[in-house]
Amino acid sequence: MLPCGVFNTTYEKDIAIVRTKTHWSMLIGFVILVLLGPQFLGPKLLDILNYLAIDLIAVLGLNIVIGYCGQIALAQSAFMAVGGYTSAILYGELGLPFFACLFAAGLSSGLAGLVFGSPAVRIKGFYLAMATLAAQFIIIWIIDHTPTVSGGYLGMEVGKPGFFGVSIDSIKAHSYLIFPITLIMIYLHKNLGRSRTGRAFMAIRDNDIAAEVMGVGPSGHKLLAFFLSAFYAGIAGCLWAHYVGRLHPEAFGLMDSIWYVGFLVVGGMGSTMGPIFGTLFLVSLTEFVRFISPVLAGSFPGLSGSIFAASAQLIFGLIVVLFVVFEPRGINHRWELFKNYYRLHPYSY
Amino acid sequence: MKKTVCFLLCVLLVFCISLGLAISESSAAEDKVVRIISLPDMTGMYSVVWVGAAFDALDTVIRETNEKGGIKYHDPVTNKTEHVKIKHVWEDTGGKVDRSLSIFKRHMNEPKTLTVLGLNSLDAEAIKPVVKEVKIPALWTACSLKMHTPPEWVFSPISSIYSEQMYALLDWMKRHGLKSIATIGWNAGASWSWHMSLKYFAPQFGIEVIEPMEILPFVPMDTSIQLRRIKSKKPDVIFPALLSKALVQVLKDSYKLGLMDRLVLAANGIDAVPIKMAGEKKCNGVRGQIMGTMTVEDVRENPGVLKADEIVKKHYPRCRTPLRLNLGGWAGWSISEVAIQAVKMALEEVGYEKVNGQAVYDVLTSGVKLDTLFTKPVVLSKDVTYGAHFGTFGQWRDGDFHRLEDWRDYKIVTEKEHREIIKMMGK
Repeated sequence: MLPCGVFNTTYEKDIAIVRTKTHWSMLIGFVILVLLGPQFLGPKLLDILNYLAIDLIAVLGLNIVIGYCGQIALAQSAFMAVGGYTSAILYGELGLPFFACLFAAGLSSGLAGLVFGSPAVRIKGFYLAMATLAAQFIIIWIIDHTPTVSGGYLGMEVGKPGFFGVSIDSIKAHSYLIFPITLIMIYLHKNLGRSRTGRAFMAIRDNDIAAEVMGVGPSGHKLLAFFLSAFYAGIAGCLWAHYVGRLHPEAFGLMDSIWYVGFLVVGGMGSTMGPIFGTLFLVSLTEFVRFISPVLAGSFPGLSGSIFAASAQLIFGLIVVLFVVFEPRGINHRWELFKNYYRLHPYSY
Repeated sequence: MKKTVCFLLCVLLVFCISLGLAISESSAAEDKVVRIISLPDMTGMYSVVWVGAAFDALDTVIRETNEKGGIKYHDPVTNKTEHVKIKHVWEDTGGKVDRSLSIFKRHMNEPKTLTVLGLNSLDAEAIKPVVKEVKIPALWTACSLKMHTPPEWVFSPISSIYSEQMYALLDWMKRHGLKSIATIGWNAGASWSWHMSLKYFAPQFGIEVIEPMEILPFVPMDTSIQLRRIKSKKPDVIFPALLSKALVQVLKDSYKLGLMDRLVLAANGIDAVPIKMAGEKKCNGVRGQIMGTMTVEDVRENPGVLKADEIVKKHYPRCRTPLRLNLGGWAGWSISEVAIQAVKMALEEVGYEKVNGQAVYDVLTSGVKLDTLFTKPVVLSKDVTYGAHFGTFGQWRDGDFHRLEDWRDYKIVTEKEHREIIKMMGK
């Protein structure tokens, strides 16, 4: 819905992402905030924001395959591992430039996505869920059992990224690498949804037989969705690996993959804002419950700290369940309702 | 209904935030504070092992110290006896290495952060380069090979390294005419450290290590398939390179398969919790190694254990597991005891104004004797960053652990040998 008094009178206006002066000023303000933020924010907050941005890239990827294309994928964390290990090996062993490694990470992960997404051509629903679940176990098993390449259970050190003679070795410096890449990935994701391919994904999601009748090839598009989704995961994995400085197969567990789906469910599927809201909400909540546990434990000295850590997790789970029960279309739906209300203001017709 | 739920959630949120602010204000009011960070996994997979108990124990030591007014020391600058409180900074790591690193990085630059305490080896291996860079010594309960090769800023004051333990086990087997050993463990650094150390040293003793190590999930529901495979190879000794609930399952299944007399437990030799969970009567005859983490005297008479039990009762009146029964409890307790002593000595050396991680590191590597409360005092150095180089063997009989022989000093495994074992692990 367009704001009151705004009309699409030309094709350029129709396809514009940023439509009004208010939009432009908000965008400019946001970019300035992203650029200047790291200068003023403390390391604690920046660290949280860096992880949040990396998670967001992974969830945006998942939104392509689940939200746009209507397929199920439960191995996003394993695809992140593929990206992370690829980049670590290429950067550490072969000494390739960082951005080449970043692209290679996305590409290798995308190819893995293509391989494990290929059952989507034949199967759907629960069966596809099982097939992608297998990817989670197979990828981690391979990493675990190729110690000469990946370090296996011993893990692997990952070099700090550097380019044009600048070494990225602090939390702040990493923010300047991670934030712009995240913005680019958001922009690409937004545009994908508006493109011919994105609309084909949505057509398949809504009714694949109807889409095929209309001339949209489901097989190719499903594979493309898996490729793009894993590509995003690969980029996220690469950034994660270089930020943490160490890789270990245990860091990419099944629970992480499931939580990424959770981020998407809470935020709302099939839009760009959904993954952003979901990631923002759940990461903030996680950080909050982790922060509050020691505080509560300090306030009740007769009780063990473990009780608070565990109960905080329970509260966290409860909030997510309540959310899914009362707003199954995600935070983004609420946001859309809120936005529409103000766009119609003062005329409520 | 919707409104009520939203209201309740808001109330909860406001309560938590106000409480948080109140606490941070009250702690900010303290004038002299030193910070100790700890990285416990309270909700992840290690929480089911013994991390919960270890964390509670180390937190108890810090609470007890603070309750007595803090660390009492003689300040060389003011030439007066002073007190300094300890601020215990911790967050649940959820068993994730990246999370542990992140928590440490968030807090490491806070003023007077003197040491970091941790519980599992993966965290220690990951944090090793960071603590060296920021010069904050790390004290850990685990003692994997990679943590100490090369020796840097990570210390394991209460434990003999896994390679030493296996050397001692092979030596014990040779003295008792036992010729072959099979291992069952996790696909994790600790289990592989034990297994590869056995493989490395076994030729020196003419003992066969049966390959491959049988792998179990972290919390297995059944281990009889793996144990049957081991049984068919007829080893003289079966070594479970495991802890806690996985060990309980191995004990239960070994009883069914009649393998109890072949089991020799490792670092967990006298950890009574798994024995109790598996059934004391069933575990009759199981042997175990007692290493430096354990009391040097009979468990029940050790003054350190008795004192610790008293303190635990005071802080946790409803605690059902006496400390003497819990390996994790001892481990956590000991590292915080050592940390507090090292901080006290550092304060007495340089004074409150100048005390930092480097000063604590200097104390830890100065060759001074450090009391762990439960074991003989340990001595650390720049070259040997792990503590207790002694141990013995014992046997479970009707719920009591009986020492089978005298305490022996362990061979200190050289850095070169450790590098070779790690190389084997990498293949």
